[in-house]
This record gives sequence, C-alpha cells and structure tokens, in this order.
Amino acid sequence: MRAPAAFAALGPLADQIGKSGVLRLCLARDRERTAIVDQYWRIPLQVLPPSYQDEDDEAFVYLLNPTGGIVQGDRLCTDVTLMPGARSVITTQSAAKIYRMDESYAVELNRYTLHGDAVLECVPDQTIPFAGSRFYRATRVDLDPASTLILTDLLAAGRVARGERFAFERLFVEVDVRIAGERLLLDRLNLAPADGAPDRLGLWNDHAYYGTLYACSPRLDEALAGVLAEMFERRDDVYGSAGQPAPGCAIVRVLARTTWQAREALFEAWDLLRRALLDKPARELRKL
Amino acid sequence: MSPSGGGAFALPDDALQALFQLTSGSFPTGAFSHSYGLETFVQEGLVHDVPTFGDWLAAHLTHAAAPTDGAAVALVNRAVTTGDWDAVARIDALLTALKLAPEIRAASLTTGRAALRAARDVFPAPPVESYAALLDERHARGNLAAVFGCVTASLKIAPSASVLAFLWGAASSLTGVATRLVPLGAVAAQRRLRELSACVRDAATAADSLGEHELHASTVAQDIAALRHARLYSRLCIS
Repeated sequence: MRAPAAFAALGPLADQIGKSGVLRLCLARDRERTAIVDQYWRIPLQVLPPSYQDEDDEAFVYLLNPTGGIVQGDRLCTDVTLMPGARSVITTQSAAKIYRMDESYAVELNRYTLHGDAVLECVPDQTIPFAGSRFYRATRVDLDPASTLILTDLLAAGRVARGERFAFERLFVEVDVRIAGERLLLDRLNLAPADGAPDRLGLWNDHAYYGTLYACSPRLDEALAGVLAEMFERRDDVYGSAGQPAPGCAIVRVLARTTWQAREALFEAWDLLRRALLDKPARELRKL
Repeated sequence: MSPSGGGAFALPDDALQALFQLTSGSFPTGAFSHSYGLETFVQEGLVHDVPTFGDWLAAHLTHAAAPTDGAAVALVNRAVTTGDWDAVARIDALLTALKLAPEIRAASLTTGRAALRAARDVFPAPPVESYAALLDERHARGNLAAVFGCVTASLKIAPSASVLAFLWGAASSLTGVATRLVPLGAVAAQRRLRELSACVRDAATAADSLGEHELHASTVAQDIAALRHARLYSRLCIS
C-alpha cells in the first residue's frame, strides 16, 4: 500500500488529532452471534455497536466519519479482523465525500483479514470525489481458503446532479485480494482528468457511475460467475458484466448513468451472491 | 527517450532487426486472434469506422496496455539485466493479478508462452533459458510482456526502446484485427495507426517511469467488453 509518486509530489500528509483516523476491529463468535470483541478508534473514524438485521448471528457494523467528509491531509486507516465463524456486514452511514484540496491529498487504507470460515460482506455507500479533490485509496483483503468475501464499491464522477463530472484532480483506487498469501487479483484504477477525460470510449464511455464487486468463496464456481454475468448483460439500463479471473473468485464491473441504476444493479448482484453463498437474500440496509 | 521526436534510439543494426522481427505479425505469438474486447464493441456498434477505432486504440494503449504490459516490459528488462530473477517472477505475478477479465488473462499467457517457445529457438540466450526455467518451476506464468522484456534484455536492447517496440507491436496487431473485424479499409487504418505515433511514444514514455506499485489499468468499459466477449453469439477472435 504505497501511494503513486504523483501523490507524494502534492505535499505531506498531516499527523494530528482529527486528521489521522484509526479504526481497528476484531469480530469473533461470542455465544450464538458475532460480536466486536476488540476495538480501538480515533476520530475521524468511529464505529457504532452492531445490529442484527437478519435476525441471525451476522453482525451489521456501521462505520462513520462524523466530520462529514474527507479533506486534504486526512489519513484514514481501517483494520478489521474476523475470526473463524464470525460473519459481518460492514457498511457506512452515508456517502464518502472527498472535498476540494489546495494542498496535499487524502489517503484511505483499508485492511480486512478473514480467518477460517469467516464471512465479510463489505457494502459501503458511494464515494463522491468533489471538484479539485485528490484521493488515494488502497484496500487489501487477506482470505483463508474457507472464508467468504463480498466487497462492493461505487464511485461517482463527482456531484453529478449539479453537473460536476470528472472535475476531481487525481484519484487512485486499489483493491488487492489474496488467498492464503497468494494474490488472486489486483484492481488499480488511476484517473487524472487533466491527462484525458475519463468519459470517453473505452474508459467510462459516457457514464458517470462505476461500480465494482469482488467475491471469493469456496462455494463460488464458474456456473455462478456465469449467472452473475448474464444478470448484468440482460440489463439495458447499465453496461456491465462479470467474470471469474481465478477459481473461487468473481469480479463485476458496471457503468451506469444514474446512482440509482448503479446501486440497483449492485444490489441485485449482492442478492444473487448472498442467496447462493449464504442461503439468505440481501436486504436494504437501514441508514440511521 | 523524449516524448515526441528528437533523441532517437541508437540501436545496432542487428538489435533493430531483432526488434522488427519480434514485433512482426509473422512472429508466432498468435496475437492476431486476440481483440482484447474490441470485437464486443464492434458487435455493439460502439466501434464502427476508422475514427471510432482510433479512439478505442488510443484509450487502450494509454490507459491499459502501457500502464500494465508496457511498464512491465521495462521493469522486467531492467531486472533481467541486473540478474534479479525474484523481481522478474514478482512482476510476472503482478501482470497476472492485474488482468481481471479471464479472456485477457488467458490471452497474455497463451501469447506469452508461444512467444517464449519461438524465442528459445530464434533468439537463444541464457536469460531466455532462465525465464523458461522459472516457468517450469512454476515461479512465473509466462505473461507476454514479461517474455518480451526478457528477450529484449538478452539482446541488450534498452528498456525504453523495448517498451516503444512492444506498444507499437500491440497497436499494429490491433489495427490488423480491426481491419478484419469492423471492417476497415487497409490504407485508412494504417494512416490512423501512423497518426497515433506520438500517442504510442507518449504512452511508452509514461510507462517507462512507473514502479511496481503504480502499474494500473483504467479502461473500465474495455474490461466490461472483454468480459462480455465470452458470451457473444458468434466470435472471430479468442478474446
């Protein structure tokens, strides 16, 4: 997790209270359900006590940033460990807003470690990079061959409703998934609109929202990845598909014109995977 | 290497001839049967003439081929020159991980292994054998860009010239594929390829400066097209 050189040239990151957020969580089976057995957090990162929206053992955990958004110099580090038998849905309370930056940039580092047959469903709200923002996000997931991961991400071109598209300065988003120490997939998106508009043929075509989903499970086979692909290819409101880059894992990529279309398509994919891998439907997450 | 014009490469004639041969359509890599998702765009009507193909190719070179394969050619070339075979294996693994559409991942490996088979015979040299041994020992997978960087290093061709040749070869091969798929007039397609010379040079310069932590591919719609390619009703290309 090392930012590209283009970021380092923008200036140093702050290391002060309220700027350098830390969140460490350990989730484990405690009697009949998954509980947070260890936690440490420092503003601007915070976590709410878990809820049990499926009315089973799975803990629904909300991460929040009470400062309302990410500003220049912010460094946010989240580290979540799930012990064998733990199952958790991790989400956010609202969209991640990345504000304009005149100096420096902002960094978000996420690390998820799953042991044994742990299940992690990480379904955050969308990320909105405002005009003039500079943002580096790296997410690393370490899996056990027996564990299950569903991770989604939705990126907006900007504040699209007010006509702001690709006005951010630089964005680098990385997802690194490893199983038993071996890298399964590495997805790195680098957008600097000054070097060429992303809304053109081959990049985002003429779309304004980009969704991804990464799934890994011992139960995920080629047939399921095929069903997922067909589900996206049947939809004519979005441009998407899916595939299986390595045994036991699937990726989804989807481009959409509106946030609703992107969210609905990703929700449908989450639902399909949840039914196949966890034997229960997806649910609309309650936002507080 | 300068971005546009000036500082040309001073290559010995023999090295220059070797680069021509490696990037020639007749070198048996099988590149001519791979469209990297272009066939999907053609069937969906998004690429239908020379200008739309030129836009597709420029995006592919600048935002996918150069920052993954192009950068890897330079990194592997340098690693082979310094004898750092751990780095060669690591960059080869990085390439595999970065190629997310199964057909693209497979295309890099099948064309790479074919190129390696040919190179062991045509350009025999200790580094080429060392890379083949990595493959036998399963420390490398045989991605095309890694093989190319290894062969050019064994021929003492500089990283910058290797990247430029690799990307030009990719552009030329895809122009041939598009000429058959769209279809395009051969002369008009070649004129567009020539017009993209500066684009290829700029992409090569940018690729040559990337570190392992900076390799990336940002062509989202091309990735989706490559994924959708697996389910096209009729297909002329493997990817």
